[in-house]
Amino acid sequence: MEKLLKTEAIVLRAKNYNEADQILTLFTHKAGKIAAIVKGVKKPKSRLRGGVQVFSHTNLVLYLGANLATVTGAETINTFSLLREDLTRMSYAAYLAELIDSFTPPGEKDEEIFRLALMGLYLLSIEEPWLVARALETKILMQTGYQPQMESCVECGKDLTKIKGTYQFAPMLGGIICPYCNNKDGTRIEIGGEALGMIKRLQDIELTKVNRLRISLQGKQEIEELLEQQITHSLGKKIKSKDFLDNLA
Amino acid sequence: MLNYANSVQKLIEELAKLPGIGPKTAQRLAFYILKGTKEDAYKLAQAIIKAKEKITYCSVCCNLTDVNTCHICNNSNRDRSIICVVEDSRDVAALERTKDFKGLYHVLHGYISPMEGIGPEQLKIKELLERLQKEEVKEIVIATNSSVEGEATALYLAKLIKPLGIKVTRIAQGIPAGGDIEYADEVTLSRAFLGRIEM
Repeated sequence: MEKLLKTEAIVLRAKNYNEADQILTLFTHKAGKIAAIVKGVKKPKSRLRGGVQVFSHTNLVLYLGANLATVTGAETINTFSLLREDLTRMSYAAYLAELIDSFTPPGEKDEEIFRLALMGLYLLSIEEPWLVARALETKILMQTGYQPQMESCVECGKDLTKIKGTYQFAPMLGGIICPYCNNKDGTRIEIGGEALGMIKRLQDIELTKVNRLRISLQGKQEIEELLEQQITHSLGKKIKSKDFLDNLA
Repeated sequence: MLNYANSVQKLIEELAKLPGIGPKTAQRLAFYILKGTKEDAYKLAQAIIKAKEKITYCSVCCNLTDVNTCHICNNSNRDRSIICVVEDSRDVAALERTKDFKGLYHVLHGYISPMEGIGPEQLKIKELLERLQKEEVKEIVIATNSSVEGEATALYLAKLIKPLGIKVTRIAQGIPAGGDIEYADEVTLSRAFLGRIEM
């Protein structure tokens, strides 16, 4: 096995370790998610520190150990510095990083997730972040195989485009229930046609064009709740940064 | 793994719980203590117990202290109109070593970290806001770390304090003394440019 890996990477998170080291969670272009130690990074004269800032896109040289990689070289490509100047944008970036960390298994190369992470950080630093975040959620769910069933009713199988009315989303069943199969199950959330159509558009639309979409406040609330329920149910846990974002609003 | 007498094994286990101490280091420390005099061991144990029992938060700045109000807050020569906000008591000690800052401190005891689920309610921010209502403060200097968490904490504090009409400043950031420009990242360099001073 090749011991040295030269790759582009995105730093998802950094955890302090020992006196001056950090353990990074990286999403690399060539090898997917990797945990790597960066030694002495907290010392003022560290030559690696500039290249391993959280949320940065960087060129790394990694020595692959049995359990943990070691960062031996780092050069920044983009730090997305605007993310650090706005608490809301920074919190959205933390949310994206946690989402990718939670949905991806270690060591599995995924170029689409890498592209989404990169584009996501860029757009979150300059665009209105709410819709960008929702588009990222739908695309990450799709890419990892957890997208909710939106085309037909998960109970009767009827084509939802041919049925008008208020739908329900059932996280336990992983999809939408048509108005005919609706019931009062407390775990289900109601969802209108606007939100349903918009989630389908978010799955297909280019990330850069996402802020061209227009949506009502009611629709926004329904989309956010549906995606949050789907993510929580898929992962079996809540994303911590989402709570922080909700409190910030 | 019982290669040692129960009491020695227990000592190694307890020492290994300390941060940065692995099993080997714990073993070395335990044998150092055992080789020393009974008096030294007793002094160490007493120091730990005394620190644990007596240390509390300063009623003003939340720094660690063994009296009600810490020696910095009690010092009448300090400038009470300026408060430097730091993450940790160790940051107070580091800043005090410079001997440049003559104001008071406020210790948050942590940082905001969305990913770790650490929110503002878990820090000593409420105490800071109460302090700002009681005292006449003209400036808050935010000296949290330059990490993502430190920046998030600084931005949150600025958002909270600015509407009170108090000047909020952030400590300067740039090239460390003895550091190479070549290895600095773009954020550090651009901040170094923003904070340039006339010579």
